[in-house]
Amino acid sequence: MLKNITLGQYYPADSVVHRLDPRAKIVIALAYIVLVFFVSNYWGYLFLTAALLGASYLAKVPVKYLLRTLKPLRFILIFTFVLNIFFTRTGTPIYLWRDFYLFTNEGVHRALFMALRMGFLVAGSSMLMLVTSPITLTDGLERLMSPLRVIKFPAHELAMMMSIALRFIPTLTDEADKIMKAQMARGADFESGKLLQRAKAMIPLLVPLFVSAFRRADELAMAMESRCYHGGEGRTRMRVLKLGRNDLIALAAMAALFAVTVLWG
Amino acid sequence: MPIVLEKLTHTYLAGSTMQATAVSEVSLTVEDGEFLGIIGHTGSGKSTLIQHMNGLLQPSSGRVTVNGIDLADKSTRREVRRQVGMLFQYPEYQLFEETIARDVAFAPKNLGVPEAEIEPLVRAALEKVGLPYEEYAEKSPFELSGGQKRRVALAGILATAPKILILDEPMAGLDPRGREEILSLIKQLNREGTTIVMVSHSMDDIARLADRVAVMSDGRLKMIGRVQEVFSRPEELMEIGLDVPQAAKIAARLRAKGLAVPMEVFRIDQLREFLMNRWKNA
Repeated sequence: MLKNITLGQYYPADSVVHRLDPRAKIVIALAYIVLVFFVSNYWGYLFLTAALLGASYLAKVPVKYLLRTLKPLRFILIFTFVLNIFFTRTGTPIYLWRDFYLFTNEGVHRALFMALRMGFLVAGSSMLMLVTSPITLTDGLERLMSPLRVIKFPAHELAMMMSIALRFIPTLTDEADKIMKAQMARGADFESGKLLQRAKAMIPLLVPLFVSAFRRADELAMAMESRCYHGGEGRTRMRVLKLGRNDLIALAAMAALFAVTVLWG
Repeated sequence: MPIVLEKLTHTYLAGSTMQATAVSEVSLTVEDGEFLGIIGHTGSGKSTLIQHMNGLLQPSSGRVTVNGIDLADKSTRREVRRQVGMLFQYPEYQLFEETIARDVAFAPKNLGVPEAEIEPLVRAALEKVGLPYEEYAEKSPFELSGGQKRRVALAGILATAPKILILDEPMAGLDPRGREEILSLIKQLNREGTTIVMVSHSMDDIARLADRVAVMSDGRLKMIGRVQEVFSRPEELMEIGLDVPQAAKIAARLRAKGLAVPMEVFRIDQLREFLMNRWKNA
């Protein structure tokens, strides 16, 4: 049952987009997210959609997967839409019956706009997650943040913590799944009952899970130390990130999209 | 209470790109009171298979019945789980209570055993696994040694007095003494009438304990039969990456050298007896 929870959304495929430098991808995704806020008419959303579809085509990621990332947000999206459509009172009312109206043309416009903006924010960042494996993502982040070391920002430590956390998500999910099954075999019921009962029912799952998380942390620390890990100082990398021709093309394409959207969108 | 699997198929993440069929079209019956061993290499579907036997997993297609009760019916699940105990791999990681007695009482409490009957059941279960109630009941399960923890976990399953016991690698990671203790305990339970299904990588353990063996490979049931039948076909077992018991290997080599070792010989004690007899008669 825990198998259905996908925390990492990475969609493994062999494509130009997957092979891009993670730094380029992060910068592009950030630019895209910023761009979403620059959009002021529907043309802008059309450009953004085209860019997203183009990227998913090049990345060989089915559009279905991209849409699926919006699913957890459906309630917030609907909520935003409903809130905006009914509470915007300015603009021309759209009469439903004589002088009775529920919403105005501006309300419809704003509701659509807000929902779209939120959708594009999520879709844009999901696209990054879909085409970049968590490990390369943290690699890219570390490199992007490394100039901040000058102001004593622990870029390496942060990236290391992130990659360890990401690395252990599947392990702990598996573990949770196993413990859950073992307790279910002993008659534990995780699925029914009132809220308080359910919270209590989690104890037999959480205690063993924490015990094992601490045990694993301990073992990992030992394993790292026995391989002489001492932080990022002077550490060289096996795969050195290099900006290639494709990365520059992708960045240029993003810059073009930015310009077009800011000018006409 | 026989467990009957009919054309059981289980597919993980059906419909996605990561779809994987772990068990396909397995039909078998676990008879009353028997000891069924299940062998197969890692990823052959053993664990998935046994998790259907108490309704933890539902088949993608096919049917599982325990004593005639279809496990697809959720309302009977509590009763089934009380009758079919399941011990997972490294069960000591499921301990969570503050005291051993409370941890062992977890299953009977959940499965609706009346309050008054719980204590005697806990007491009996702990005694059975060789941990005297008086001494251990109030201790924390986290202060025990690995082997003791495993015995507490086993007591936690025995506390509902199950008729069928399903064990997934119950001896994994134990020292020789711990192995021996658990092994003889399982043997004892089987002798007292508990049906046992045991998954194991150790052919020698299976040879020592099991009546019948099921061989899994790539999610399919490759062979099922009496231990001597299965272990007398070492070539087929080797082909799917499995081993045969040490004694069966020696017997096979002796046979190749022209010594007429009977097919029933696959355990160390049998082999020794055969060779001693032969030596005496010669």
